[in-house]
Amino acid sequence: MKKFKLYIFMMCIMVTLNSLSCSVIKVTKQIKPRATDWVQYGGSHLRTNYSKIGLKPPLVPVWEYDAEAGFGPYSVTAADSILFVGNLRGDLHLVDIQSGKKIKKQKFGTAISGSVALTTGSVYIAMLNNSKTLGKFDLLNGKFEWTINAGQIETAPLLYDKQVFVTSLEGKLSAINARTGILNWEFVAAKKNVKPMRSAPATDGNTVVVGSDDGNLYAVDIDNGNFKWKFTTEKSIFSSPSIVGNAVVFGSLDGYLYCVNIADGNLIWKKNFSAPIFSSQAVSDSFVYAGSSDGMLRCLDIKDGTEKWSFKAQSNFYAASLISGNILYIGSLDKKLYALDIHTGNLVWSYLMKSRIKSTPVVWGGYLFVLTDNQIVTAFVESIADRK
Amino acid sequence: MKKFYFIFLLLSAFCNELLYSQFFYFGRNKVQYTQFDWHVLETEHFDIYYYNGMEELAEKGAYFAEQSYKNLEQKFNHNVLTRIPLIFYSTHLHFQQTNVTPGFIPEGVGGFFEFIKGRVVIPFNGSLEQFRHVIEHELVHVFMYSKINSVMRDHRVFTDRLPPLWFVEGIAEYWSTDWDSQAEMILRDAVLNNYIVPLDDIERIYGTFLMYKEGQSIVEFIAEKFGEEKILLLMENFWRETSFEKVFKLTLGVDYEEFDKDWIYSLKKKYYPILLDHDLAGNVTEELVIKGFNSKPVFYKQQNADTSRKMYFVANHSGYTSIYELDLNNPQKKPKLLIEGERTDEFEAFHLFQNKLSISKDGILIFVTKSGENDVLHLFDIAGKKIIETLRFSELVALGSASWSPDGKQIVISATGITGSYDLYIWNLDEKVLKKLTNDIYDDRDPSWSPDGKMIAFSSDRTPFGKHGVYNLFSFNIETSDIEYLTYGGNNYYSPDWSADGKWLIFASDIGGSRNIWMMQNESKHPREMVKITSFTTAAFDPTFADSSRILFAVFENYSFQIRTIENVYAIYDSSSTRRTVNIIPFEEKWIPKSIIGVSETKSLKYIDEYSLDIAQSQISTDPVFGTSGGAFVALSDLLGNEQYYFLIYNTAQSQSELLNSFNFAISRVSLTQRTNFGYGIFRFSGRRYDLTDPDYFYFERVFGGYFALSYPLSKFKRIESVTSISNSEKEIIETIRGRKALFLSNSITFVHDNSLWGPSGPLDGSRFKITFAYTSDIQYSNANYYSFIFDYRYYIRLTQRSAYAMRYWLFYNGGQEARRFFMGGNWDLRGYPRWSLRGQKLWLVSHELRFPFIDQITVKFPFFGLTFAGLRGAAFFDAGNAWDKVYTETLASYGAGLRLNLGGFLVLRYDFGKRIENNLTTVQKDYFHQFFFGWDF
Repeated sequence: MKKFKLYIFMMCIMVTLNSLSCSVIKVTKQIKPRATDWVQYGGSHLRTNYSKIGLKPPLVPVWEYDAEAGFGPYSVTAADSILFVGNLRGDLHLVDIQSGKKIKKQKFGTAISGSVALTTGSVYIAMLNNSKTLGKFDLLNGKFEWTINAGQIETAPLLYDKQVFVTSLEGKLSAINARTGILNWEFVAAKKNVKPMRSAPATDGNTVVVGSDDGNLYAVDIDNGNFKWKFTTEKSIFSSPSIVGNAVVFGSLDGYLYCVNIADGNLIWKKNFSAPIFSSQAVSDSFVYAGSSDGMLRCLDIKDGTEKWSFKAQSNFYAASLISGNILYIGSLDKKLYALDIHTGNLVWSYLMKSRIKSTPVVWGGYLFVLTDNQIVTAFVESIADRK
Repeated sequence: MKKFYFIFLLLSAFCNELLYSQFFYFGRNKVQYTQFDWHVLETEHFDIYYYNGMEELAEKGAYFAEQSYKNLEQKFNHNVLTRIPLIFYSTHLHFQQTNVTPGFIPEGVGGFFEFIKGRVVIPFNGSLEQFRHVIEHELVHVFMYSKINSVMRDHRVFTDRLPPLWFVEGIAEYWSTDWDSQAEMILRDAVLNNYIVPLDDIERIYGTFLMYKEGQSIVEFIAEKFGEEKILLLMENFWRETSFEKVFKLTLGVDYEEFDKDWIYSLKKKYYPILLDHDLAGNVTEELVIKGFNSKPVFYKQQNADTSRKMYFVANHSGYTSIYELDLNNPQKKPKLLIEGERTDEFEAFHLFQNKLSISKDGILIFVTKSGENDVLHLFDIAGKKIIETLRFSELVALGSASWSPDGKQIVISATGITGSYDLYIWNLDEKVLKKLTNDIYDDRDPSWSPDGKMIAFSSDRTPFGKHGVYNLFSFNIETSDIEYLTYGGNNYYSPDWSADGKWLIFASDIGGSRNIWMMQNESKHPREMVKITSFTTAAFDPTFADSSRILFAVFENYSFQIRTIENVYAIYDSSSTRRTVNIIPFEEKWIPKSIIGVSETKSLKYIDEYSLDIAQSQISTDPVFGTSGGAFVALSDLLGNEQYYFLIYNTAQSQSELLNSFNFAISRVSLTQRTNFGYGIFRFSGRRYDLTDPDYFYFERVFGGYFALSYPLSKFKRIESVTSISNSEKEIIETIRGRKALFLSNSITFVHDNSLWGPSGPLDGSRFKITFAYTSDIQYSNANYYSFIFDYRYYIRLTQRSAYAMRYWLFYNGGQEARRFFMGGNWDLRGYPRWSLRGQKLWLVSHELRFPFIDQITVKFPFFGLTFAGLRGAAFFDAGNAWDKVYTETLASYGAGLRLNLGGFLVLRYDFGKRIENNLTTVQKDYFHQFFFGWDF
């Protein structure tokens, strides 16, 4: 009995120590994002999923990190050798990119579905099921600078200029002052029967575009949230739009990939994928790379939607691909990470992960991060020799 | 997780009995009649298990499975990472032999998903479209289970629940099939007869066919009104709330009550206008039989008798499906039970709703039953009221409908062999030859021989529309063997029947959305014209001509299947305004179902390398007398459930020094592969025991040994069991220095019979019987040497639908050295006496009990919630008996009444009160005794 009591006591001590060591995120250095850092979902406010860093396959895994819960499709952000991993249990993990070791972790909401957005010394965290669902968290002192209730958020926040934009399940697009947390404006698509927004917003600096469950892509003025135009599809839009030049590209559950003019919302082209498109896309200056729920990935000319090549995986594409130099990286529910030549669509390399890939791969430095369904983040590098 | 056919409507009411009796003292038998030679077809996502003779079906099933997988992968935006085991059976009779589930499989079950090992088990019923539908339906369950698991795991929420059954089955139906005339029939009837159950109260119809179809309608309404993506989001949001109702509100923005307002209003808007040009059958036709579930009427008029007019039909009025006779001259009289089914080996199962009856001009009724391994065809002499012949076809497994040739010398029958495809056969009674008329994968059903003997009309999916599960009518020319279209199009046509003069053909069709009766002239001119005879709101089935211008038919109304009649059918034909021309486009190709030729390999029956876990449980328990004990139980079985291993280990040590000596373990292997089931194992039990002898005492016992058990089912209702065991026993009586060593050899043989039919608290009909002989001896020390005789007979007389008179007779006898004692007393046997207070090596008991419904439902409404108790049953009883060792002392008895309450289908609470009669039935107790316990009625 004495042994049992001692055991219980030790367990309590360990639980307490464990919770103390991980309860608050505080870092000792000021994190300063640079241009090559992946500071928000899509890599930038255009949501292109395009990285100038070209990582050439074959890649090798260098470490795995157990994030203790699953991930949304928006993946991770990275800056200053730190990987920011939000999970669906509401934890934010800070991971040392060099070693793959945990720096800190803290529980925020009941789920962090979207990746956090990074700015100097702080992160913007969007959460679900909290009374305050968006906050600017100071990494140096481990406290929120401000929080606000922007509705239940299942997408990644958009950070542009001095504003943070978020969409909510209540069907609102909100613009919040990034420094003060004060609501600048709020756009609600309809007065009655408002549908949720599960699409992360994107902007070209003048217009913010976002998809809605009601099947519309909405465009509003970035300064005041005034409605500019909407483009209607047959079914809900879960994918997040990408902007390249004057074109906005997005997929719909009606099975079409659309390209519309950001100025007036007029259709430039549309392409029938013959299967619902849940995932977002990657875009370069000339091409768009989009996958659908039948496991088809298509490369289309951004000008007219002409199909340049296609690639078939063994299962669905759940999240967007990533352009890294001349290589397109994309994961599928078939557990494979594919590396394709962006010009030809030829399979250059593939890697069988331990579970489904439901998030967009992210490149930072010489690393490629892949998140899998078994709650693991795997870091790949070109080769061990290169890394050394 | 079961896909139900239409006849679930009936069977759901009675399947309780089948399931429960399996596990108790008696129980019916799941007989492994057939030795299957299993193969595995490996495709991209599936391991398809099939057996010799059904290769073509397995390949078509493989195609359907892969197509369904692709479809569902998109709908769920999800994939299943493990290979899915699909176990196919070519007929439902074979499916009923599966050991994947231990319970009995009623005829209405079209397949099931077993989620512990992720197995999907599906029989083929002749229709390839139905096969595809069931495969996809079950795969929806597989995907949903996997998706929800994935969502819960992502959010680190404990997976301890699933969505409610209405959603589970609703989505499975919605994503696997279109809204069809059967679904339309159910919903129309429910709305127009005002028994539609709102979503807020849908648990009230849990597990019924109505719930399946309401579920489908609800999911369809969600997709239409809120968007199809909401169906997916209901699963993706599943982690966010603790109840599905809250998930529903969170996802759709409305609660059940608000949803009901819109949904039911939309149903009313849709179905009320139907009354403008359709009628409830009960309002416009003459009733013949409206109680119970009735189908397949056939008319018979004795040749030389002018007045005798009879109708024969298949019905379930009591829980057993049987054939009844109705005098059409006195239709108000209660139908007579002609052939009682499902109580004997001969008529093990009537296939209600499936097999038509036919009567020859000589008065020979033919009907199909399951008897033993396969279906058989019985020839029943109506005048003599006896079976004159039973035809058993070695190459045929399942039989469909049969029809006499006009000369009474041949029978055409729809049937299938091991391939699963229903073809037409002719049996020549004189030559005893079976001739196959059609031979392909199409589903040929409901043959009807024309009165001139020249052709056979039948229903089949051998058209371009067959891929959608559509059946048209055809004629088979006896002389030329040519098959010609009688109808053609995308609507269904079933159950053709000829008029006596052969000039008319009557049939059922779902043209316009609901199944009604149509008629056409038998003429060679083209195009033919067909005319709608009835315009019922719900559905009509199996129309057949009676005498003059009368027709008989079954109709679904008010959630029951009734038999009704219409007169002046020719006048209706002439006056009907709904006429259709049959335009046949003969150049269109028939539907040719696709196949997948996967990688096939044969595996041994035992699947030695594929045992996997069924149950793993560990437990620590504390008893005030016996202290704390801990242990674990593990069960393993192969994929088909044929071979099973059980491991039990626990320890009852009270101190460290007792640890090694207090290990208890047992290992058993059970084989259900063959008809003779057997099991064997070894055991070691050690620990403190309590002996309920006189005087009671504690002892410490170590027993180790082994056993071998056999069970041979003679039929579904009878079996012989035998057990041989040898065990070494060492007994130390605590608080004395006494001890006893023995090496026991025990043999027993038992005969068990059970054809009882159960109600909510116990059997209501049939009988149960068990007789056991056993002999136990100490073959080393001669410390014990005794024999046992156990006689147990129970008989139930059905008084009304829900009441019965039950009798029980026990005689237990143990004799010899150290013979064990029996115990009696309490709610389970001799009521009024303290539990197990009567002990002896001999025992007798007689019980008589009247069982009746008492209160069907009590609801207590509190301000914030309500409690509902349903199915309170009453009993009045008289028991008599006693137990004794050497000298019989007195006869004890009791009488009284009691209440029984079934909780959740697995536990019956019992309360009895009454008076004891003691001193050889001379002294009646002054006060009342009260006893409260649990357990089923005897």
